[in-house]
Amino acid sequence: MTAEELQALRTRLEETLPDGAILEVQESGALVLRPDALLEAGRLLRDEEGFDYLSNVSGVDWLDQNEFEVVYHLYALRRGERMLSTGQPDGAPLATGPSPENQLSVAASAEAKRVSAEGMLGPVVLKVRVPRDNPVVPSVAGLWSSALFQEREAYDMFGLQFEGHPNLKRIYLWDEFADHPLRKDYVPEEA
Amino acid sequence: MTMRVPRHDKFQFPGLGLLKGLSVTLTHFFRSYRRQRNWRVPGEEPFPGGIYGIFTHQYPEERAPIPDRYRGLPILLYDDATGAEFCTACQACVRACPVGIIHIEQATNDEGKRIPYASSYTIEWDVCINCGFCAAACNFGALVLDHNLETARYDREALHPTKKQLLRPASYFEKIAPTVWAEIREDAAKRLAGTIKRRPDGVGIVPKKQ
Amino acid sequence: MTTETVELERIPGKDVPVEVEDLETEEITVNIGPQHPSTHGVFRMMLRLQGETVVNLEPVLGYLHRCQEKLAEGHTYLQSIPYTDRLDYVCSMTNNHAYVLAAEKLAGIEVPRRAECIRVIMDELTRVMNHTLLVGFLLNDMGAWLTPVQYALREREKILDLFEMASGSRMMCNYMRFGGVAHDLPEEFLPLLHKVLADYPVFLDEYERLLTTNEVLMSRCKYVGILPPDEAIAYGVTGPVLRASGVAYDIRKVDRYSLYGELDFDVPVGTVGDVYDRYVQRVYEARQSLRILEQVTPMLQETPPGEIMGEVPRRFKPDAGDAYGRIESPKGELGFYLISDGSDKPYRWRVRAPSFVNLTPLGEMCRGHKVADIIIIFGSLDVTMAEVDR
Repeated sequence: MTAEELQALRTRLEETLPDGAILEVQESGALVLRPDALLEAGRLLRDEEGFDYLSNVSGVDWLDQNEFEVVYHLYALRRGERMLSTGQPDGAPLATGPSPENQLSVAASAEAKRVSAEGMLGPVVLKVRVPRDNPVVPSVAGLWSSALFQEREAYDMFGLQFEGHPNLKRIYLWDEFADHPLRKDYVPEEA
Repeated sequence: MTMRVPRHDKFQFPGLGLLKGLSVTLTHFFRSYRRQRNWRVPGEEPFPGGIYGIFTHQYPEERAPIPDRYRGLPILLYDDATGAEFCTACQACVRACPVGIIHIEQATNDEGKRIPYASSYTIEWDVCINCGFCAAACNFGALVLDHNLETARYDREALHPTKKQLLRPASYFEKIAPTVWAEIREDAAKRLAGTIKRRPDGVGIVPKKQ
Repeated sequence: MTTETVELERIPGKDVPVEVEDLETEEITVNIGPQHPSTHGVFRMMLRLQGETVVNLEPVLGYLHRCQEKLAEGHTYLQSIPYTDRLDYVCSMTNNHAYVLAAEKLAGIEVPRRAECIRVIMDELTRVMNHTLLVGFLLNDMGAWLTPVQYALREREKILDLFEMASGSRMMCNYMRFGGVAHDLPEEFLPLLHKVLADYPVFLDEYERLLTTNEVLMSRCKYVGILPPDEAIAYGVTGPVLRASGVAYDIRKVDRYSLYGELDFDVPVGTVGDVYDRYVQRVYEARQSLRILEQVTPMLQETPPGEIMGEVPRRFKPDAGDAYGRIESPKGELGFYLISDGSDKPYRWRVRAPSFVNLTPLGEMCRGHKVADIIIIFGSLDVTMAEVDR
């Protein structure tokens, strides 16, 4: 995604979201949101901007700043598919190798499609920060079901509480385990 | 450039699919009576039988060839001509190892100054993940990876070799992995000349076996 | 416990319906435990069954959790490369590639052309190997005990020989480095690669002849475990499972990382999204990978031998920042999210494992099917538990 596309996206989001929802735009293009604006921004991105695929939900422990961060990576899958597919009859015989003119035209048409497409295939990176002693983040599992397992993993490893998740329990470690291993101040017990 | 995969929904005579599958297995069965060895032998055409033939080795009488770059367990080398060990106890391998299984102690001379010689060098072979970072980190051509496949022992101590058990002559490594030795040989010889000068007499020489 | 009247179905030709009154039925909970030959690793499923039909399925994970993400925070970036081998142990080359791609994005390193050619060759060999192996194991789950697996393993041996020649190890290859690959290809690599490219299409045709029109396979796999395309996208499913459901999304075509922008290949897409589609889609995708290999091999021979590493600093210490690098691994989208704080050890090392996310719709897909179907559906998802649990 180019910087212009990201800027245009940010402007469109700012028009609809309440003031101050986008706290910061980082150098890499990531949008830092306020936690309570996350669901609204997610719904806008999914329904109106077409980012229907949540690829990655990752927790980060910033011990020095006393905060947890959750990072979301979104891609536009249907838009990417429209860019690629041209359609062919069932079981069409495969060419065993490219013919010269086929290769050139393939590359040229692909490039043309890429330039003229609505652009914005992703990734859109959203970041949410919460204080370490009250790590409550709204769950996006209602918007994208791919967050179901990944948020459970973030809860297991960091202790992040996802509000609204249908089944928030530990996924890797056994249920009676007390601590959260990926925190920076985790001390493993002596064997 | 997408293509739809076929679903084979058209009517086919019942049992035809099973018969086609049986024809495949029967072809393999009858072809195997030709006893054509379908192996990779270095220097010859690899796998001459294509997809037919006998592709199993009757281990341990017949063995598959091991390529030069194969990463077995780490061993130390010493120079054949002078008997001097290449290792200078620089700890590069210790820092490179992802699992931290190499333990080196550097020797000191009579005045207490450190000399490029390891007084103790152990590797825990049972924890080694065969990644090869130690051999890649060694600047002196001392630590290389052996081609041992049969690494099972009866007790744990045999898998924690000391330096005496790790040492091999450089000619051994040249025999098993000539292309790898060719890459490190010149540098190793040059650095060894400098290392021997900084060691007191007699230190770092492997005693000749009778 | 419910007391209900059960009417057995009418058998054609014998039209005497049998009614049984006051038959008490109960839902039972059954555990397909972690030790099970069909679970592709250590995976536990808690099933609620009504008779033989599945009412609910809950997966229990974590039996192979090795806390790799925490370990990587204590190692340097280079020392984590052998750990990526062990994420999805069948496809170690693509795991390496994904990690190295993410680190190169983080540090801004360029890769020379010969190294890119070698990387694409290794990736596509891995993809071919993985798909045929998976088809073999799927047939294993169906009860075709070991014949398809044996054929797949026989051909896989040739590819493993190639990996052993190039990297030094058959499975845990540890071959890719930041900025290129570890060693150049030896002399005996290309003759064997040409032999593989000559033999593999013959083998795939034979494999299809053995399996694709087999009546038992067709009746067991068709219309079983259907995943509709919109649900697949919502669940974050990627890879062959997504393409079999009808969505033509291939990261090699979208992101065009490495050399894939210059290569010509098709993306096979399914229609219904059942187990049969996932099986046939993988065979056709393997054929496309062979087509890519035939294009890259002459490209490799044009590059001068020896240029396999780009400009990399002696100690890999990227500036503070984050990067997400993803590739199309044989199982789906494999991504690495790395956060650097300026030191030589990563601050956060996160793996977006495709098997983990592909496992999410398993409960939905299995509802209403019989117990025997669950094993097949799970097998067709192509899950490696080492990647799920990390």
